[in-house]
Amino acid sequence: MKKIIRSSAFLIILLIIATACSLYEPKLKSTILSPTEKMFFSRIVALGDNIIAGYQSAALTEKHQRKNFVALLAKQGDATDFQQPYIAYPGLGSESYAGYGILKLKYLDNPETPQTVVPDPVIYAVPFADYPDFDPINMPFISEEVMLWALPYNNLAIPGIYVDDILKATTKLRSRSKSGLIDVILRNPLPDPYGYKTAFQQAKLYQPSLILCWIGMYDILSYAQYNAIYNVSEPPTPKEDFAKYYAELMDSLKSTEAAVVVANIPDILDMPYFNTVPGVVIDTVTNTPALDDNGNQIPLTGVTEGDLVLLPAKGFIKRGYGLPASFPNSNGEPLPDDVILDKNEQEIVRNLIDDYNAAIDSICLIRKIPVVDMYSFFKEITNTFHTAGLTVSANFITGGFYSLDGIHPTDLGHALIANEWLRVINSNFRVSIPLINVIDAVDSIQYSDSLIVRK
Amino acid sequence: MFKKLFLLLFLPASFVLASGFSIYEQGSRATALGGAFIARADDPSAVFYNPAGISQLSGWQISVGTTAIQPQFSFTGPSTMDSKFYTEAKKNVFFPTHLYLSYSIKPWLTAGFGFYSPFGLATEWGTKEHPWVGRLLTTRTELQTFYYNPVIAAKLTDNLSAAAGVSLVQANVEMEKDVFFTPRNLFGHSKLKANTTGFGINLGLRYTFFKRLHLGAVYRSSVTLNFNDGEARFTFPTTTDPIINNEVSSLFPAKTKAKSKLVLPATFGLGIAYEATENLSFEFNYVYMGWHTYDRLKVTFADPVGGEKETVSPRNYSDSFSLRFGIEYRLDPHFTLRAGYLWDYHAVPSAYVEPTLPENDRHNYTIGLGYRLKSWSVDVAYQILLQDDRNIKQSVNNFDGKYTGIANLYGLTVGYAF
Repeated sequence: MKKIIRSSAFLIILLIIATACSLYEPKLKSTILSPTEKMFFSRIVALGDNIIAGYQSAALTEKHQRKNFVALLAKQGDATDFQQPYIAYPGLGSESYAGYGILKLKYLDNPETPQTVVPDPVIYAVPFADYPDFDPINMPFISEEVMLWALPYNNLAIPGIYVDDILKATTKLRSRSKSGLIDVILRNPLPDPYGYKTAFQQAKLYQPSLILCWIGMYDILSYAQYNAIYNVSEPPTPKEDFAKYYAELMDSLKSTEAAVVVANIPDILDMPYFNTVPGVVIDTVTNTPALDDNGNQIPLTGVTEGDLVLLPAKGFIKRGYGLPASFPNSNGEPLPDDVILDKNEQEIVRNLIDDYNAAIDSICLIRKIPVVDMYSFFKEITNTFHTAGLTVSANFITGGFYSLDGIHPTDLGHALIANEWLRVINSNFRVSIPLINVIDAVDSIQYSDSLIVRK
Repeated sequence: MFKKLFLLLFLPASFVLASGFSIYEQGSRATALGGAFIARADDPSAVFYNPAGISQLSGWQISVGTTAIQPQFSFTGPSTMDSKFYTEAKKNVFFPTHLYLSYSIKPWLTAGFGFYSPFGLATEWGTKEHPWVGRLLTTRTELQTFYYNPVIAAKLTDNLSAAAGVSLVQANVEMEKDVFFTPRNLFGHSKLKANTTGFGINLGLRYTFFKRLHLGAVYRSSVTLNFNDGEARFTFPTTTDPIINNEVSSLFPAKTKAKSKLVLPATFGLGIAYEATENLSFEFNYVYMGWHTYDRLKVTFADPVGGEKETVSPRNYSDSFSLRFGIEYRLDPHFTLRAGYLWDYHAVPSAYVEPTLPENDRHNYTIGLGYRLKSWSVDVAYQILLQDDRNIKQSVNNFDGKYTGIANLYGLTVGYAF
C-alpha cells in the first residue's frame, strides 16, 4: 500500500514539474482594424490652418508634413492613396519672402560664447540658395507626381489662413488672409471642368468619409505675432464674425455627409514664442540677466512690466534695440512695439480665444460635431506632460513639443496630438483605432533626419 | 551530485518573488511547506528561517541547494497609446542558491552559518533591435544580494532556545534604460552598475509546549546599502553632424561615477506549528516586511548628466506581509510528502507600479517530497506563483496598463549529517 502511495506521489510531482504553468498570452497582441474602420478612414480629408497642415519650424516641408498628425491618423486608419501637398526641402514659410525655408538648430549652446551659464542656442533659417534645385515659385513640390496629383490632396489645410478662407478663398488674391500658400495648395484653376475651387469645394469633390478641421488659431495669431513684411494693423476677426463664419463652415462640412471632427484653439500665449525672451537686459557673457549696481535686473527700454516679449525680439536686441544708453552696444532705440505684446493686447488675445472656443463649443454641440479639446491638451503641455518616461513641456527647444518657431508643434508634438484626436474619434464614431506608440514614433523621427550612422 | 550543485551555486542570479523584491525560498523543505518554517525550523535552513531552530540539530550538518525560478511577466498597454499592445518580459531562469552549516558545540550551544540571497530582482524588457514601449523607464534591472550569516543558538531551557547572528551582505545592482535627448531627437542608453557591502543582524526565538506545539519568532534587521562607487555609462548613436556629436558627448559623459542608497527592509515573522500525530504536522506563519524603507531611488552623478547631477524616482513602497501555511506527512522513515499555500500582499502602491517590478498580490501553491537515507537527505519542491492581474491607472509615469505575472519554482536541497 505504501509503495503505491509513494510511487503515485512521485508520478504526481513529476507530472506537475513537466506541465509547468505558463502565462496566458492574448491571441490579439495589438489592435487590428476591421473593414468598417478602414472604410471610415479611406477618404480622410483635413482642412484648417497651420498646425493641421504640418507647418513646423517656420515652414511647410515634406519632412515634417509626413509626420503631421493627419498623416499619422491616416496611417493608423490604414488609409490608402493618402496624398499631401508635399513641399521640397527647405520648404515654404514665414521666411520665404527673404529667400529662406525651414529653421534649423545649429548649436544648442553657441561655442563662440563659451562662458554662458544658460545655454545660448543658435538657430538659423536654411537659405534657398543652398538648394539650387528648389524652385519656390514654379515648382515647390517634391515631385511632379505630387504637383499633378489628379485628386484633391487629402490635406487641404493651408498655413496662414482665416476661418472664412476655407469656404471663400480660391487664390491668395481672392482671400482675406492673403496667405501665399493658398495658391500652392489649392492649385487653382483646376483642370477643366473644375476651374476655381475653394479648399472646402475641393474636399467635397473628394467625397470624404472623414473630415478633420482645425481652424481659427491663425485668426488670433496673425494679430499677436510679429510680422516682418507688413504690420497687421487690421484687428483680428471679431468674435461675432468668427461665430458666423464657423457656423457656415460647419454646416457646409455637415452637408458632405462625412464624419466631421474639429478642434478648438490652444492658448497661444503659453507658447515659447511669447515666453522665451525675457524683458530684461541679458549679459552676453553669461546669458543671464545683467544686474545694476543695486543688484536689480535692468528692464529693456520700451518694455513695461507684464509685457510679453516675442521671440523675434532677440534679433532686434542683438542689433542694439531696447538696451539702455549706458550699454556700449545700445543703438539708443527702444525695443519696437511690434515685438512686444502689452497687457491690453494680451487681454484681447485671451478674450478672443475664450470667445472663439465658446463659439466652437456651442456651434458644434447643436450640430453634434465632436470637438477635440486642444486648448486643454496644450495646457497640459504647459504644465509638463509625462508619458512612458518621456517628459514634454512648453520650454523652447528643450521641451520637445514646440518646434524652432516657438509656435508650431514638433513631430513628437504631432504624435501626441494625433492620439488626442484618435481618442475623440474612437469615442464618437464607434471605431477603435489603435493609438500611436509615441515612443516608436519618436524612434522613427531620429532616423528621418538621416543623421544617424546606421551600423 | 555535489559537483553539479556547486556548478549551480556559482551561477549568481536571482529573481523577485515574494512581495517587493524579496526571495523567501531559501530551502526546499521550507519552500514545499509554503515557507511556513519559523516554528518548526528543524533543518540547517533554520539559519535563514529561524536561527533558534538549529539548537535542535546534533553534530555537524550541511545542506546545499538552489531554487530554479522561472518567471514570466507581461505588460499590456500603455493605455495612453495602444491599450491592447502586449509586451512580454524576457524569460529567464534564475538560480538563487543556499548553503547552510550547523555544528552542535555543546548540547546547549549550536553554531551555524548560512549563505543565501533573500533579496533579488531581475527584469528585462525588449531588445536592442526591438526596443519596447517602456524603454525610457527600464530595459533591464538586476539586483543581487548575498548574505553571509554566522549565527549562534542556545538552549536556554528544555523548551526555549534563542539565537543571534550577524550578516555581511554583498550586493550588486545593474540598471539599464534608454534616455532621450529631446533637442536633437536622439535615443541613447544608460547603464548604471554598482556594488557594495552592508551589515545586518538576525535574531530568533523558539518555544515548545508539550513537545508537540512549537512557537517561533524571528527578526531580520534592515540593511543599508551605500553604493558609493558606482559607475554610469551613457552611449548615443553617432550622427553625421559633428556638432550634435559634441553636444551629446558634453552633456552625457561616456562614463562617470554614480552613487545611490538602498535600504533592504527589516523582516519580522511569527510561526506556530503543531504535530497532530507522529507523522502529520501543520504550520502557520505570518511574515511582515518593512518595505517603507524603499521610498525613492536617488542616483547622484559625479559629472552632470544632461545638465542634472541627480535623478530621483519616487518608489514609495509600503509595508507588506505574507500568510503561509504548510502541511507535512511522513509516509515511512524514508519518504515525506509536503504541501503548502501562501498569500503575499503587495508592497508597491498602485501609482508606483512600474515595469522594473511588476508585482501584485500573489497566491502560491507548493508541493514537495523529502527522501532520507542514513545521513543523507534530499528535498525537492515545486511552487507555482500566481499573481493577480494588476490594472494600473494614474501611475506616476503615466504608464498605465495591465501587468500579469506567473512563476514556476523548482527547489532542490541536499543535506548531510556527519
